[in-house]
Amino acid sequence: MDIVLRAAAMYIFLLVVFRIAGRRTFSQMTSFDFVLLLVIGEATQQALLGDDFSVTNALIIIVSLIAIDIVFSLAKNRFPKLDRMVEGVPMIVVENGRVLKQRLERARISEDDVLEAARELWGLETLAQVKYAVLEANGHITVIPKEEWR
Amino acid sequence: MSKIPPQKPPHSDEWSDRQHPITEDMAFQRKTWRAERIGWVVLVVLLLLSAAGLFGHGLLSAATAQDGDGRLTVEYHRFARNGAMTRLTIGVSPPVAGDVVIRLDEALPRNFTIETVQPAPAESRMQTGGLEWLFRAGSDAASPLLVHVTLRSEQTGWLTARIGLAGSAAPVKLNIFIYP
Repeated sequence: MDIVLRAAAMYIFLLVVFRIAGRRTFSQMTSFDFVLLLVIGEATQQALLGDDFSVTNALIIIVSLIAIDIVFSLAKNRFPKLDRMVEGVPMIVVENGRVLKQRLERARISEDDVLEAARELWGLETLAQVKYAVLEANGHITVIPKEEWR
Repeated sequence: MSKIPPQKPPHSDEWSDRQHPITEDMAFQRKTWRAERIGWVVLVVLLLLSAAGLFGHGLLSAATAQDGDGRLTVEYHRFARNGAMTRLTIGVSPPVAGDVVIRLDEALPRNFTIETVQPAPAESRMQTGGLEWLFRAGSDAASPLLVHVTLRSEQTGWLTARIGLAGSAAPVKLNIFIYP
């Protein structure tokens, strides 16, 4: 029982902390973010396993985590409100070439991030060529170029 | 804290919901941001509290307790963590001569694994409701007897442990909280 509770506690704690950190944090992963993630994983592992390195313990933890994840995904489907709370909602950040500056600022992303996405996805050079740029719930920026640049 | 930009300038339409190409919910989005900021404050508060010792090893955690006669003093950590080590120091003030017997009630052995006791007691024996350690004092009766104990916690929650000299009417009371 103890192990299942541990797994549940860590799952919920990580969910909350990563939500607080904001969706930008690990969306466009840099190599440093990757290292940070590994270190966080290492710290979590200690708390999950405790001093019990048996195969049984590992199995129980894996099963609990996956089960919690499944329950969560079912609940998110069932209750859209929960989905929005956990995942966030998408938001337009460039509209017909106009940058919505206050939104960018509050979301802690820069015009350069949007430009980067525009270059990567469509090979665009300026934001004037962008019809819409959307900061998606998962933290990615998606770009819809104006008709003439498609 | 990063500064929060002015709420809603009159000319700005940035906070209104768009319907195309996605359906927005800016009211919810702004609530999320507010919750995020509150979360940052909570994180900072947690960091400060843990630096202060709320989770063990710090000013808030360090405690000293004395028995009714004032002969026995115990320095310990109020906060311990499950599975982690904690220390306590038992001090018997001079004069220390002959045999010194320290009694622990069962709370300590039940909630902790006693890993080391330094100096090692000459004798360790069971006694109703706990155990007894017998120390033989050295020739120097004028210096206090100091016993360092390392413990590894096995349980979680509040506990009250008692440590006293044999024959003492009012043993030292330790209040310890063990985090999960």
